[in-house]
Amino acid sequence: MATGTSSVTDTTSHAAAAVEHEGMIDTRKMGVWTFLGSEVIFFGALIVTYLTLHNRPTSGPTAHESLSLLIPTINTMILLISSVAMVMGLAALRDDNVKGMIRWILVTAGLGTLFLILKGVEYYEHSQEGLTPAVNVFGSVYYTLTGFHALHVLIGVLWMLAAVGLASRGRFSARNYIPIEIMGLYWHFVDLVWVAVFMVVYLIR
Amino acid sequence: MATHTASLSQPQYSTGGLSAWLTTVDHKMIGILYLLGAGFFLLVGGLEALLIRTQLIRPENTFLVGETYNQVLTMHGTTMVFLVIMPMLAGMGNYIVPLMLGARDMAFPRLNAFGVWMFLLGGIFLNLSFILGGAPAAGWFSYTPLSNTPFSPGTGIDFWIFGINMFGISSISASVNFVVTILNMRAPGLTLNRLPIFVWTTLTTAFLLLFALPSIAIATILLYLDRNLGMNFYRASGGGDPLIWQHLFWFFGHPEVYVMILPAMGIVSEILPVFSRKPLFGYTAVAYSSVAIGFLGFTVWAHHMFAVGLPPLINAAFAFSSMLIAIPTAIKIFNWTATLWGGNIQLRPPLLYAVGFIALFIIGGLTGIYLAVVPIDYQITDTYFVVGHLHYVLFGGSLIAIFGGIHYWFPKMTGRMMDERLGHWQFWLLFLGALLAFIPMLIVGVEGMPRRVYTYGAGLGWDIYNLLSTLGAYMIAVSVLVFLYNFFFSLFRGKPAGDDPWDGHTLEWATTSPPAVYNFEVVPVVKSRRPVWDMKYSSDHHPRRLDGVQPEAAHNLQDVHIHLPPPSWWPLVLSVGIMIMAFGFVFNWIIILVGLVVFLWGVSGWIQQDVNAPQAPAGHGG
Repeated sequence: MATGTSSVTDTTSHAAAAVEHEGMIDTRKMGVWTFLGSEVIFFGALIVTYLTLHNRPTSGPTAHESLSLLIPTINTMILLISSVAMVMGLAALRDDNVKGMIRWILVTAGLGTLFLILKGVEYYEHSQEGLTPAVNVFGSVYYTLTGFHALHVLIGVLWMLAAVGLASRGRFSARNYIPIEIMGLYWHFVDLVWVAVFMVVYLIR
Repeated sequence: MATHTASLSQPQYSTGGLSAWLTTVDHKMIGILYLLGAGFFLLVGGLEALLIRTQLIRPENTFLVGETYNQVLTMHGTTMVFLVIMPMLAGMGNYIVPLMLGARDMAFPRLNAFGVWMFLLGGIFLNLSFILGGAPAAGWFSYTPLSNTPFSPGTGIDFWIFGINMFGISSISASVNFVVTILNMRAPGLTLNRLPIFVWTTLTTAFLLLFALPSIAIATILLYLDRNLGMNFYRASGGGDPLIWQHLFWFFGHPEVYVMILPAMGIVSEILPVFSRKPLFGYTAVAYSSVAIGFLGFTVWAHHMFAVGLPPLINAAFAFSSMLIAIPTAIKIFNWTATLWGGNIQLRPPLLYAVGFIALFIIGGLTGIYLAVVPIDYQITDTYFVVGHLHYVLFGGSLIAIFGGIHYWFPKMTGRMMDERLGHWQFWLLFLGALLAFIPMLIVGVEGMPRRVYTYGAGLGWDIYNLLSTLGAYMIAVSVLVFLYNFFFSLFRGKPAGDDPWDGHTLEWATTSPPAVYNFEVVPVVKSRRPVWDMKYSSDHHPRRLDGVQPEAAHNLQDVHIHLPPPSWWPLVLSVGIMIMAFGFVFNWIIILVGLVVFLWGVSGWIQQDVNAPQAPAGHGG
């Protein structure tokens, strides 16, 4: 398959762009922004459900008993640093340094994986203490909210690995950096959601 | 196809054959897939309606009772909302909006194909529930705890949950596409304030879907977790709250109403000026009131929940915001009427449907105001009054406008006219049928007949109303049969339409019927809200004639490179993967893994496909 950098520039906007308008936002970028707007409501609905239900009186472990700050705080730092790494990766690509970009994206993906591992450790500790999704409504809202966020992190990590695979075949360049930029938009969004989750779930117990 | 298309040196993709349809990324073929799929489900949902009305034709009837009745009733509502009205409007948007914009395709052609496959496979998936253990039976809004275990055992609700989410994925991808296409792909000169109203309403609808659908996605996923993993979101015994379902559902469900009515209003706003031979009265007011309805649509959801016992202050606030919506809606009605006023009325089928829309939608709107008044709502909520009201909005409103749109755009899509005499017959059967079927529902609702009961006692005074209502439903069925005959007859035997049979003013009338695969040879330049009238009726033909290629321009076109995206199997593979996963979520975890493999295979093919590859010469086409 011909994946020369020039032949895959503008992989989507070719279709119908009747006329190039000056200063217009790239089609793919606008698509991702639009989708992320929708995702805000997705997490918004989950967070509102969490806030409504997490302190309902019931038997079993409560938020105050179960949650500790250590791992989530480390995880917050990990994700914030990973966002910086993502920015460095995009900057490297814009300097036409594809190798540097691959390195930074791998760092980002590694940090994302570390986040997931620590989240897994946290889940394991909860389950040891008797907090399971079915035990009471707090378990349900806690695992569902953080689980959906973790799923988004996982998708981001897979996306980055796929991008690295394509990059090593010469798919991206300083002229074709938009696919990496939109991946970054998604990743920063997932980080931002975590900041909200961190505050709602762990700081307001 | 017009003769001059052959003069272009552009590669052509085959437009015939099964694989061409399965791999298409052309917005026009995708639009037709949406319309045909939705048309099929209209017959399914209509048949369900006839079953329901036949059961209710007389008291104590035993034609269709109990659980089966509940299944048919639930599937009728779900089908008509998600599988008929939404995809009909999405299909028309897909076909017409890029043409109105002067664009060559949607912004993301493969995403567009993915959307239509998610809709079609989702529809098949949901309807398979009838033979795979029973359809959902908790009503189209599936209130908890009824829809939760143990009250709804079996897999019906799980089918419903994943069916809804497949339609949701379809609508989200279509909406992203519409937003980007409308904001980014407009022809030069086509500013936002010159957009056809149908494009405005499609844009508003896309934003409504983007912000409303995640709410029902969450609601249904939480219900699935409650039902299958023993979680406690809606279960009071575990600390949960069944009322959360109602909030999450109606935060989606009310904007959904505007999703179904706004593009229909857009169709009407396109038809009225063309057949009144004058510009739309109050363009700006109509466009902005569509946006206003969209905004207000997010602030009214709890008016569906007046009777559950929210604090009086909350009820009052939601009653107030609900009544506010009457203002932009009335603005539209007055502007439509003013468009007709003093016009040179051409009483042809599309106009009949547009005017019929206004008449029936006014009934739907006015009965809606009754329901927004809290004390009246206490009295008539969950009665047939609500059923009558919603059918005036969605049948008398959306569906009649959709039929109008089909009559209006059929010549553009097929190159042939629909038979006008049959169009008149169909309209009057439909219009009178809608009055006969739904007015008695309003009366019998006020008299206290609850909705969703499968029978009623004799001597309550409800017999005659139910009989009339059923006769009205049969009348509507006859009207749909007339339409089907007209459709197939005209498809093969209709009079040739020409490019511009109605003397229209929006850009779709500036290209051939049906349009070439690239829509426009020369990208049109827009100078007003009515570009095609400008071309036809103003002395200023600058910069180009659009209805034919001028001799000197034809020469240059030989070198113009129109790039068209290549066909792709991956959207279909991706959708099949998701469908298999959905079966897995209903039946067995192992199947999820199978679906996941197919899905990842699709993703991998999708991202590696080189959509700028040089294209092989087509076997046929052009």
